[in-house]
Amino acid sequence: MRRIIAEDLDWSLATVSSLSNLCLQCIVNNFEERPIYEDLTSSEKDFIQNRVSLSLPLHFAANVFPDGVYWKRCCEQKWKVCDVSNYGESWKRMFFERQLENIVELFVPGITEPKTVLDMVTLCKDHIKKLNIAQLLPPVKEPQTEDEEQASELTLANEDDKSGMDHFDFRILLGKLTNLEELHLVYKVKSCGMNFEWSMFEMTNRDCESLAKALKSCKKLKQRHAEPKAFLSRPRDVISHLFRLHLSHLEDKKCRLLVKYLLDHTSLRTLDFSHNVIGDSGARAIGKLLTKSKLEILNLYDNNIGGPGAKAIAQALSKNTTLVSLNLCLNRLKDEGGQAICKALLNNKTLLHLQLGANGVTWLTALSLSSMLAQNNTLKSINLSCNTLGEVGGNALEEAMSRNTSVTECSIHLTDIEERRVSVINQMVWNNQFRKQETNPREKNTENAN
Amino acid sequence: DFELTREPESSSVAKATLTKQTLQDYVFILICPTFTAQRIMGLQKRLTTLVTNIQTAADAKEMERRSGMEDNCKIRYERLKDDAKACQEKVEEIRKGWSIVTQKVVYSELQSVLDSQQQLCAAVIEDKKKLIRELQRERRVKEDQYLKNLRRLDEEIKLMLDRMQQQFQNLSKAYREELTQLQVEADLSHKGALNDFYSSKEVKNLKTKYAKQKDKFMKQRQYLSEVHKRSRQHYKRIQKEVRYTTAADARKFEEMWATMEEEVTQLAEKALAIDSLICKHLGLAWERPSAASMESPGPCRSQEHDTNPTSHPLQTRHLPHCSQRMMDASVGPSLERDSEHCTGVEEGELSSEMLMKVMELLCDETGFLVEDKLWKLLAPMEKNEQTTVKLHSLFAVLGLEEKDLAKLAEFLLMYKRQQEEQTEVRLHTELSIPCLFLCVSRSSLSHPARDTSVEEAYWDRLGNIITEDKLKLWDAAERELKQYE
Repeated sequence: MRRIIAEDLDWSLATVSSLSNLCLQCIVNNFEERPIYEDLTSSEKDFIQNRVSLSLPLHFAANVFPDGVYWKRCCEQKWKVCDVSNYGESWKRMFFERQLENIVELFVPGITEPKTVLDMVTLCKDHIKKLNIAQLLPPVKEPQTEDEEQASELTLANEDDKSGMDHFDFRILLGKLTNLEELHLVYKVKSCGMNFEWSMFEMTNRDCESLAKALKSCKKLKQRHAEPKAFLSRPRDVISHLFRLHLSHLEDKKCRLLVKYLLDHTSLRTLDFSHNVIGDSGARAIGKLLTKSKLEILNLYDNNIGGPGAKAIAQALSKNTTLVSLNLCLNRLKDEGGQAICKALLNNKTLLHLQLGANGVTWLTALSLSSMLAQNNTLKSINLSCNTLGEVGGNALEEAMSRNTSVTECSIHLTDIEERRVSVINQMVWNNQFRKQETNPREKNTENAN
Repeated sequence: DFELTREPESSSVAKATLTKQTLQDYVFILICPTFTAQRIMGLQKRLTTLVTNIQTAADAKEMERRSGMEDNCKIRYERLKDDAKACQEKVEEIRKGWSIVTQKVVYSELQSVLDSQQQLCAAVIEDKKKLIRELQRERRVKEDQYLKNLRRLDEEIKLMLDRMQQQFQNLSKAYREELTQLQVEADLSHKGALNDFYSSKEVKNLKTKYAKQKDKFMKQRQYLSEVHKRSRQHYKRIQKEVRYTTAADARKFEEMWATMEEEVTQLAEKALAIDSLICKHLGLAWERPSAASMESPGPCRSQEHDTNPTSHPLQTRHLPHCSQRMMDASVGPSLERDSEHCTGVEEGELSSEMLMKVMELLCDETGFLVEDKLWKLLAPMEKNEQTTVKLHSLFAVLGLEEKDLAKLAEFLLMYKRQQEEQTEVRLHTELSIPCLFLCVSRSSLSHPARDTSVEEAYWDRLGNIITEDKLKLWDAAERELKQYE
């Protein structure tokens, strides 16, 4: 006798399904008019979430369905790749975060109604924890005639002309997201093709101002009825953990403005201003931020920081007790900056990862580094690649590594050090790592992950 | 260890280095047998550096580019400065010239001065234009370089992705190997631990005891299984015998019946012939009795009933005796209950005293079947009540029900009719338990009892083919004949 094996697990041979199933199906079909959900058992709730139409109005669905299969279905319908582990295993959070990111990324200032953003925000303000906005569109420019184009080529652009290129204003958004922890921003336009203009990849001054104001923390007055006196609640930071603004042509002035408003964010843990054009005065502002807040990770990769800027950061570093990772690769630190940083680390007992690659430092810095390593035994990983350290530098490093036991990663590629010496240093570092691995096997993965 | 030399320009070379590295890695994995942790770490480190090397190389290039750009900027700046200076000089000249122009009145002189001014201005403009063109050319070159750079970066990113992929594969392979090795080690250590555990003294005695007992049980089991086998074979043989004997009996019966029938019919024919003669002599009408009365039911019908499943042939002998007993016993209680099932005539045949005696005997014999509690309850009651209660419980124990009693009564009545000759009720004191169970077993009772009434009727008919009257007639005829002698 032939048997039918159904691929659809819900299909049953019974010509008439059970009464409860029929009822649930009826509920599903009429869900919008009569949303019966709360009173059901959990398996019935799953049934409903699995079958209810995905075209329900969002505001309705957001209120009815908690995190679950419904949101999984929504996500998978909208986007091809859905990795829920990036969103704290919450499909609802993934859906709303991606929705909001999409809306902001496609927002054309001057054409798109801010209402679209605001509507979405009212639905989901409690679910958004991370916003990773990968592009910000400039307003549409009127196509110039040929004469105008030629004329504009020869005239110098004024600062004022750029005022027409303001991007999305974050003031309408950031204050309302009560649970925001991470904010990643890039002022760039994806797939602009032949319409490339440098101004598409820059933040304007007004952008910076509006962003800075948006970052201002909100102080809330809370009145308790039970107690006679009202008290101020702790001011809530707009972003609690991570702020990343990279590849946006952030220069000193803008950097200082933003940092001014970030000083209030006492819970900020990670600051990423990589691939910008921050110079010394910006670095000074960041140094001030270092002293005031509890930053753990500071990333200033690929900027324009020079010796004076590095000195400011070094000064903050010598008193700092929270910073764990500092990345100053691809700046213009030179020996002046490099030595300052190394000297600062004599007193610092918390920094674990230091990256000074591609900064034009030489054997002088290597010397100060090795003298620092003699005293410092918290530093775990050092990156000095792409700096011409030479033989003297190599010698100093070799000496330092022979005495040091804490450094488990040392990157000295392309440093003009003799190959033999490089392998010796690597061997010593490897021994350190292995020794640590034997005593504490758990740390292995975290070390290599860095 | 892996050394990063100049980053290769073309991707094919890059791929070649990549494969070379992976080959080295594989060799490393194969050769390094012990210290899996170290091996894994080394592998991780090596593979990660492969990926980060690309970044480092890119950083180096970027630095170069930046320094190049700085130099270029400086050069350009210098150049612009020079140009501005030269221009400045020329502009000064032109300005001086304007003052001369205003002085001149004569047309030709004015003309020439203006011409010279124009030339100077043209020269300045020419210089500027040249500068612009050069700067534009530089810009175009820079743009091309930028494009080339972008392409190179794209390739590097692809290479990085490749390497990351490789790293992923290699590492997962290494982890899997490590895992299997750990499992093997864990198994070994586990077994080793167990062995140690078992080989220690305190537990050793138990082990030997256990082994001994195990042997003993094994032997017993073997023995019992053999016994079982043999008894089964025996049983099978006996079953075959039974079947054979029943078949043989049936055949014998058939033959007997056939011969008897033949004899009887012959005798009947003879008697009928004589009868007809006598009648003829006496002048009486004679008619042959109907053929229906001579009809023989045949041996087959009785065979049907012969195939009643009587569970044990050895005990069929006991069947008549105990069934007699049961019949009497059951009829007694059925008297009290299902009076409609019993024909009153037969009941009357049984004397109640005999019945009581039988019942009591039954009770005594099967007393063991009655529960102890019931014994205690019965003690204060009268004897009669005792017996009835006992019978009730007995029947309950033996699985009889009321409707079965009816069948039982029928069955026993039939037997009673068959054995009417037997006036004595043999009171056997010994009653084998199996045969009692046999009697009580439903199967034997539920089947229709051997109904031999039809045969009896037949024999009776044939036996009485010469009726009483005819016999009287014959006697009279005989007397008359004798008178004539």
